[in-house]
Amino acid sequence: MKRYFLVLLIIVSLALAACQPVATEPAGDMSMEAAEPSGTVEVFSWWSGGGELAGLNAIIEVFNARYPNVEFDNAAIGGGDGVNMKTVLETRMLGGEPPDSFQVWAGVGVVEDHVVPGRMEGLDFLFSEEGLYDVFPQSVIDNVSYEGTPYVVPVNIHRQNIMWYRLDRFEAAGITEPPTNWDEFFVAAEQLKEAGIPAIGGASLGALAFHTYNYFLNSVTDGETYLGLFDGSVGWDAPEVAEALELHMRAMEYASGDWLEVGWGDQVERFAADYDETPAIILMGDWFWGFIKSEGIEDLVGWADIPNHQGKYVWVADSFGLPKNAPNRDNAIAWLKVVASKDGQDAFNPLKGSIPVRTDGDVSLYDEYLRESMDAWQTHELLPFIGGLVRQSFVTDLGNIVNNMLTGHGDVARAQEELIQAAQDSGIGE
Amino acid sequence: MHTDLTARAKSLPALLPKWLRDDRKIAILMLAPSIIAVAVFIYVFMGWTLYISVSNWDRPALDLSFAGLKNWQRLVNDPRFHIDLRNLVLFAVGYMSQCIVIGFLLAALLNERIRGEVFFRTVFLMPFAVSAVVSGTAWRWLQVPSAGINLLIANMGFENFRPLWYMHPKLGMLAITIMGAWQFSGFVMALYLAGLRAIPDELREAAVIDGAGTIALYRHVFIPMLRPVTFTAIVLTGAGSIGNFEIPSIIGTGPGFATDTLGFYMFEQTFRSSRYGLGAAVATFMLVLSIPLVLPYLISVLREEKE
Amino acid sequence: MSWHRLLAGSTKYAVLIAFAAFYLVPFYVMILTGLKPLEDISSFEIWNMPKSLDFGSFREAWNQMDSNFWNSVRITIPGAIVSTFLGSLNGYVFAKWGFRGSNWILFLFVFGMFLPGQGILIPLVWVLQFMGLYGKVNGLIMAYCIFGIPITSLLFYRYYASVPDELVDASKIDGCGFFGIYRRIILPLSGPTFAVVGVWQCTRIWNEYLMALVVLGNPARAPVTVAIKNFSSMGVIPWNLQMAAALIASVPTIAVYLLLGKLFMRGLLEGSLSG
Repeated sequence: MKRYFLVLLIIVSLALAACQPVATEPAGDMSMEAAEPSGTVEVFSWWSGGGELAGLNAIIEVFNARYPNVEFDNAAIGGGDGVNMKTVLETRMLGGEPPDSFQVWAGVGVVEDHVVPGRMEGLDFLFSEEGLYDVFPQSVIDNVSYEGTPYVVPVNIHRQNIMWYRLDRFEAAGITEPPTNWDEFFVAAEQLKEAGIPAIGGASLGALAFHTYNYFLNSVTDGETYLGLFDGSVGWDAPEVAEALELHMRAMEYASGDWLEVGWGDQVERFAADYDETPAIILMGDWFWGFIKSEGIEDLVGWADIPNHQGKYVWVADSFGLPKNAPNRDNAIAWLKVVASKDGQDAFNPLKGSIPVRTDGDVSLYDEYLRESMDAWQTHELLPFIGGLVRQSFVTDLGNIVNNMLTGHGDVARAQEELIQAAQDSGIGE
Repeated sequence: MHTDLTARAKSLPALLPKWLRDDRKIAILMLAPSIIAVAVFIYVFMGWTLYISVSNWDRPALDLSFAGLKNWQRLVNDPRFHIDLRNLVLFAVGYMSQCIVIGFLLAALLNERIRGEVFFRTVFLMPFAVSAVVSGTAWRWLQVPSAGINLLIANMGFENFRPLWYMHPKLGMLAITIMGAWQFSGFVMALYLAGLRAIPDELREAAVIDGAGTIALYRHVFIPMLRPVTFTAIVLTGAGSIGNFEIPSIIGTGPGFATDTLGFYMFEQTFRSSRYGLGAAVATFMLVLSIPLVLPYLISVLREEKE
Repeated sequence: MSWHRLLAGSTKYAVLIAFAAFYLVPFYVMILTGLKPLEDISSFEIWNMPKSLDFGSFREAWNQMDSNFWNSVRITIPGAIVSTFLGSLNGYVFAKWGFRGSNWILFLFVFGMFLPGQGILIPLVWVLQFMGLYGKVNGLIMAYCIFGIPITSLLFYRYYASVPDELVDASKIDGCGFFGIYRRIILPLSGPTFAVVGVWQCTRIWNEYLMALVVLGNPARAPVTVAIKNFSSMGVIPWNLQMAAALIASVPTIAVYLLLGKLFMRGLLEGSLSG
């Protein structure tokens, strides 16, 4: 009997606790200044840790200062490339309950997945009001537009294709210059192997395989062929596709002996510390620069173009859009204004490790690497990264197919067959 | 709370229309909301899913036009589906056998009037109280191939025995079965213990008088008598194998989809790639797979109940 | 006592202790890892004791997931109470007021219970949206109540079937109706069954993941199971936070189980849940 009583007590107290309001809604602004936005704004992103989170918090601060009556509901869902956030977003869209705004890669992906199905509001009014047509580069405006109307506001430009390397590991293997093409890369990889150093970091992860394959594809194609693969003018049966797969397989032979067993997080951790398995090279976008800075290992690390990538700037723009039926439309627009603003972008980007989309960004706020990246943005051939060129379903498939080849069957022809099928399924060239 | 309800109910018959004064009709009326809810949320939904699996809906935009067997064809030809079927077999075999063998062994030991029975029982059942998400999180950490349990193994002097656990490109699924069995074998133990305790002492005594040893006792008396429990355990673990979703969503799908499952494949195709038709085909396949597992069991249980 | 009986006896205990260790190790490692700060976390030091007692990870994990924890409470308690009462009422009808076809209905209830949840996910999202309950805690509670009907009805049915019909018939003669019998005969006998079913539903709902993931889109509204998953990202996994979060998420169900474990076992031993 005593025990029942105890349990009853627990249940009652828990129930009481449950009745207490957990998040107090901000009191509605009852004053006459009705034009001032108030309430909440729910924003989806996949920035939940490290420099990403620091950047997001910085831009939220700008937002809070400008719109003190709007509570920013930060719905960040971690997971690289937003794999987790995108599934949640999809169920929310299916449930007809979009968030007020959400993070997305600019490009064909958002157009096919969200604009064509009629889920998004056009942002021509915002671009005109805020003068964005003048301060954003034309190539980016083209990329975020569908049939002449922009649909998302880009907050940054990330460069995708950088080779990060450990200076001490190169030195230990007697490598004086970073390799500029794949032949040199494999010579260097052999030298590293003899010195007992894994040349390249890797892990069994679809999202990683997807990114890395992107680099191999760029290094064997010219811009026209690369873009053609995604607009349908070049088929996925092209020899370059197989060539990139082969290079990818071959490069992974120089990863540490246990690369299949460890997570990507472990590899990154190793790169920042000193283990026998510390990889000499990581191929990654420049958000990795944010990680390097947060670890304080700038002096240990050098960067260069990925082999055969000279003069190419593979880019992606994290962007935010306005879903139709956004519950707090006015607040969402307020958020987009901050995303597009000079202070917003200059608060966000130095911490995130990316460059502002606006051409009038304050250069003095950015560090050595980012300034170099700004220069390259002006002078290099600009190629959107795959995530901005196709629907999400192909991004997922590509990662899975390449990862399976690397970690499982190792059959290039089979992987290419699967890619041809996946391209068809995702309606490339339709 | 209920006194309130029933006090009102007492005066209710006078207020009700004539046809409702019949208690049996009230009973049916009370059951009706549940019947409707289950009919719609389980059976109508399943039919709906079946229809989506033959529709053209493979983009974010809704498209329910009839597509024939397109999605099913795609499914049958998808290498990932073949791997998932292999994984299902691996998981089911490993998970079911561990749960049943360990569950039975522990129940048999606990049935021997062991000192500290309550302690052991409590510990064995404890993982059953936590979520599969927790199980996956803890075991993922324990089974890191470069460290974790392997460190213990190495410290015991078996440096050369270094299993890859869930990172094994072919047998990763077997490592997952350990996580599943960790959670569920205690429950199977409890089922068997309940079954053993229900066996009348006279039967055991009679067998002992006939000269049966412990092994003979189990072989000829207990195991046959526990057949219904085994049947239950098989169906529960079997259904668990088909629906397996939490662990790959925590651990990932592994090298070469070694730890992928039908449940996760369905989820990914539907909500990550917006291939609703294909996702629905996987879901329907899972439903169909469950029927031969569950149906005979339910029929036999119901038949017994009638007797 | 002969030597081989002694040997058999100690083997028994050795096996039991070995398995107890197997069941406890993950809990041990969760506590150990949760007590270390992030800079001391390395998979190579998984077995090392923490250098000092540091509750920082638990504090940080709690700060990140406290709202999720209360969400779980807000979902679990109403869900468990409603579905247990529904089960009691349904079980009573099935056991004492059976009508033509009621066995079939029970059969279909129970059959639905064994089918994988993936089979209903897509329509569920639609219908909840149609009802204005998508993304809302109440929508998830309703789903849990409905999908709990089969198991709760079955458990109560089994128990009420063991109540002698004579008792029911006698009170019918006394003039009791449907509700009178329920109140006077059935409810007073149901205490332990209510506890068993209530505990069962509490743990099932608290631990559920798939439906919560799909129905509640906003991470701030999600329950603990979904929150644990959100602790990992593509970079370095904060193992200490994840372990602390997993442990925090397990505390309520383990506490209920430890407090009511005997009752739960009794329910099992009395055959409530077995074949």
